[in-house]
Order: sequence, then C-alpha cells, then structure tokens
Amino acid sequence: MRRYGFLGAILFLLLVNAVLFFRVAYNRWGVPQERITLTGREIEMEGGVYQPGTKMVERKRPTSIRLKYSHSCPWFDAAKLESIGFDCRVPSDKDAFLYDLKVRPRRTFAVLEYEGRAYETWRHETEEKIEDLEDKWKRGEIKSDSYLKDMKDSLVSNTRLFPIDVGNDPGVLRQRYPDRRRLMIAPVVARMISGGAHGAHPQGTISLQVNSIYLSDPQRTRLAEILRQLQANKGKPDYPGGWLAPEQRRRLRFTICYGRTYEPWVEDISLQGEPP
Amino acid sequence: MVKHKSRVEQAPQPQQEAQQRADRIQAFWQEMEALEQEQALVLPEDQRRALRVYHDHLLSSFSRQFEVDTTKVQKQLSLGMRIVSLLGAMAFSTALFFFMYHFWGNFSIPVRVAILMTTPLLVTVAVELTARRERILYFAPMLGLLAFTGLALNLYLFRELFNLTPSAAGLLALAAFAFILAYTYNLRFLLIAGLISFMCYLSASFGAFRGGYWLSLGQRPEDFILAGLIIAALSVAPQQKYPAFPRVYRVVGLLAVFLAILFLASYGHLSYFPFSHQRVEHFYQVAGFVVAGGVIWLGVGRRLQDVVILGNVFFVIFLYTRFFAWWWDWLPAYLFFLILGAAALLILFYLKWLRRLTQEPRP
Repeated sequence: MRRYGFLGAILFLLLVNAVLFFRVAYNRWGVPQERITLTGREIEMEGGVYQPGTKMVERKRPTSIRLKYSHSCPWFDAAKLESIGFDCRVPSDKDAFLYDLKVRPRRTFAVLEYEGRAYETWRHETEEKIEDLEDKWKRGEIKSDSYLKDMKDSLVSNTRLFPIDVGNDPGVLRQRYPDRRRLMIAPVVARMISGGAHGAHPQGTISLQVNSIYLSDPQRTRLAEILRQLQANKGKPDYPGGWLAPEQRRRLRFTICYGRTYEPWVEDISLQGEPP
Repeated sequence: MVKHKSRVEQAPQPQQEAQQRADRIQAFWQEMEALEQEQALVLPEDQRRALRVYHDHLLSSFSRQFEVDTTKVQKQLSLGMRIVSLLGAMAFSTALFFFMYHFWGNFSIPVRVAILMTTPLLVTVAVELTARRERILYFAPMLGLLAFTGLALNLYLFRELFNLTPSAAGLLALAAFAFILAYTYNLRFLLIAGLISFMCYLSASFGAFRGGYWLSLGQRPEDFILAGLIIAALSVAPQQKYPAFPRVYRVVGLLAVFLAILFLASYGHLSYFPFSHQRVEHFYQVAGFVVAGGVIWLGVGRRLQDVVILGNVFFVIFLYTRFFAWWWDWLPAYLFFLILGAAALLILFYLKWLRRLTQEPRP
C-alpha cells in the first residue's frame, strides 16, 4: 500500500504540473483572442524585492507589469449590474448599509477602451476643472496650487485606458465592439456598491482578474535596457520606471495579448523612435 | 518463554493497538501493587513472576516492533516530539516560502519552473525514505507538511509566472495530494491540511455555483456549515486501517460548523437568509445552543469523547458570548461576573449529570 501511495503521490505531482503546462500552452496556442499595444502611461512596472530582516526593498530589473486603467465607471449602473447577474434590490430597512458586505463579487468580462471617447470625455472635464481652478487661483480663492499642478500633470501622465462596458459573454461583447486596435476584452471581477443607503443607486466597479503580467527573461532584459537608455542622463537609481518623465513613458510600447482562456501575456516591448 | 515469544510475534498488531495494550499492562501492575499493599489480592509468587515475565516480554516486543512508550516518561517525551515535529514542519514551511520569496527574482524562468516542480517531488521522496527508517513517524509528518507547502507554492507561483487565472481547482489538488500522503503514511497533520483545503474548495464551489467569484469564499459562512457537515459525515465511512482518522474528520468538520455559527450569531448580514440581520443573528444564537446540545447528545449516545468535548466547549462559548452581548453594557461588573460564576456552577451540575448518564453499568 505504502509503495503504491508513494508512486501515486509522485505521479500526482507530475500530473498537476502537466495540467499547468497544458493550460499555458492551450491559452497561447493559435491566434490570440485579444492583442493591443499600450504605452508606458497605461503600464506600471514592478520589480522590487522585499528583504525581511533588512527593512529594505532591493531594486531589481522589472519582473512584471501592471495595467493601469481608470476606475471610473459612471455607465456601470443598476441595469448593467443586473444584466451580469447582480441582485440590486437594496433592502428598504436599516439593513441597507450592510447590503454591500453581503453581495458577492462576480467574474465577468469588461471592454477596455484605449484613447477613445471615454478618455476624451475625461480629458475635457479635467481641462474644464483646470480652467476653473486657475481662475480661482488668480482670484486668490484657493491657498495652494498643488491640486492644480496635480490636475495638470494628470493630463499628460494619467492612463488612457477606460472600461466602457461589461458582459458575461466575451463573444457578444466583441460583436458589439469590433475595433480590436483600441478595444480590449479582459476577464474582470465586478463588485457592487450601493452607497450604503436605501434609495441610493447601486454602482459597479471592476478590477482585472489577472492584473500583474509576468515578463519572460528576454523581455526583462529588453525592458531593463530600454529603461537604462531612457534614464542614462538622469543620474537617478536604476529602478523600473519609477522616475521616468511622462514624455519618456509615452515612448514605451507594450503589446499585450489575451489567449484562448483569456489569460494575458506580454508579446512585445519596444521604444518608439528607436532605430530598428 | 519460547512459547510466549512465538505467541507475541505471530500476531503483529498495529502501533495504536500495541500502545493501548502497553498502557493497560502498566495500569494493571499499578493496580496490582495497590491491591497487594491493601492485602485484597496476593498472587502466588510463581504466578506473579510468570505474569511479570510474560508482560515484560510483551512490552519489549512492542517496543522493538512498534516503538511504543512503555513508561510515563517515554509517553511525555513522545508527546513532546510530536509537538516539536509540528512546530518544525511549520518553521520549515515558512523557511521554504521566504526562501522562494527572497531569491525568486534572481532566477531565470526555466530555473524557477524547475525549482517549483522539483521541490515537492524531492520532499515527497524524502518522506518515503524517512518513513522507511522510522517505526513511529516523527520526521515524516514534518517532511509531509513541507511537501504540501511545496505543492502550494508550485501552484501559486506557477500561476503567477504564466499569468494564469486563480482557480478553485488548486485547492482540490492540494487536498488530493494531502490525502494521498495522509493515507499512505498514516499522517494526521496531512489529513487536517487536506480536510481544510477540501473544505475551502467545497465552500468556494458552493459560492461559485450561485454565481459568486470563488475567491470570495469566506464571505458567506453558511458555505462552511455545509462543507463542515459533509466532512463530519464522512467520518462514518469505514476506515479500519486508520483508527485515528474518523476523529480528525469529526473534529475538523464540526469545528467549521461551530465557528461559522458563532460568526453568524454576531454578523447576520453575511447570511444567505433574506431576513434582517438581527433576525438571522437571533436564529444562529439559538441554533448554536441547539447544535451544541445535539452534538453532545450524539457524542454521549455513540460514546465519542471528542464530539462531547467539542460540544461542551462550544456550548460554553455560545453561552458566554451571549452573556457578554446581553448584559455587559448595563450590568455592574460584579453582578456580571457573579452570573458567569453561577452559570459555571450550573454547567458543572449538568456535566456531572451527563457523566453519571454515561457511566458504564457495573456487572
């Protein structure tokens, strides 16, 4: 019995790893479901390694990237929440404030638009706010201009990736949004927030199911090279992207793919304006 | 002598049975000494000597074959070794986790994959080699838990390396691996790890069946009630070769049920029931007493000591948490603790009555 058990355990471990490899291969086999090229504005680079005992973070080459997308989803209302399976009947009694804790998040798919109408709307609104703040600053109605500076910075550094719709069927979403160059469909976890009061309108939020995307070894080397090139004259530590100026960030290009099982990987990293 | 030897060695017994017999022999000779001092029973010297020789031979045979504890000191040391084994397993598992975390960024992806795949494999081989050398397993459980941690890291870091979506199937794989090791080497630590993983998988599946995201598995404690009941019910399955395992199933399963009820008795808004949170909390406050009482009754009826203890412990916890919720704010502290003391007295009377009820009828 013991010998069979031991062999069973070994075979089981091999089987588990075989399944994992198969899953990766199946996802990346054939033509990707989604392929989109984003700039450094839409990407956050990760690569710090925490060292317990030394209370320091060792800076390494970037190991993974994270998609930066807007968390503003004004279109994600009760009707949309119900369309993906949420029960939006917030209780009418004093339990309403506890309802958010009760509602489970749901896995669904979101359409993320790159530099599209949602971004333009946000940019227009931000520019209006800046104008308004500048007037107030000139009139001396506000004491600090730090918020104004932040707003101006956001115009050149904020992400241009905006979620614009959700649905449980990625095929249906793709039919509705056929532009593959600007629109990406990705699996997300959707949550409902009722605002904690009866009569408030429930709102949805999303977070990408797999947000941290690991880079392959050649991609890590390539990205480190690009970053060194960009930071060469800055005299700043060689840390993944932390001190890149917005105009430098904009030159970075990342091609992200989603495969058959909607799991992502980075296909290519390049620098715009680089000699081939 | 020769006759004794052949009789003992012809019938090899499992370790637990041998230990129980050794305990009975020790108790027998303690009682025999007391009886002799009180002149209640004095065996003829030749019979006494023959019995002593037989028992000594039996004990040394058990000690040789199964490494049973034949003295009180040995028993205490064995318990200490088991505790050290568990602590060691936890420390080694943590060390493995931090080792991966610390050096992870320095390795190329093929090296990382090789480390992830080979760690649980090599540790499983080490479990087998250690188990072959040990009669009572102290090092094997430690390595077994390390192999379990190795597989958990394998699944987690592989998923991270290749950007795979988190899946509840990982919990099922962990449970299956822990069960294989537990049933191959008779390891209770691994059985507990396997049952907890399986329970988490069941809870995640119940939630996912209702449309929720599986990683929000802790959001509805009622899922754990159902999973705990399934685990506890599995304890009735016949497991003659593993006499200690049904108890583990019962305790792990019932512990999950009790903890979930305890939680829901205070946080009713997490329930599936479509009622106000106060109503749900009241329901689970009553349910806590009813279930604890039922568990005690079941334990007494089936003579399951572990079930009776668990039922009693949770009955007291339910009672004291209720006292605190009802009276702490408006009763003076001296009166509150007086009521607690009175309750303790009542519980003592109740347990005494229960003890009398469970006493074996004298012949």
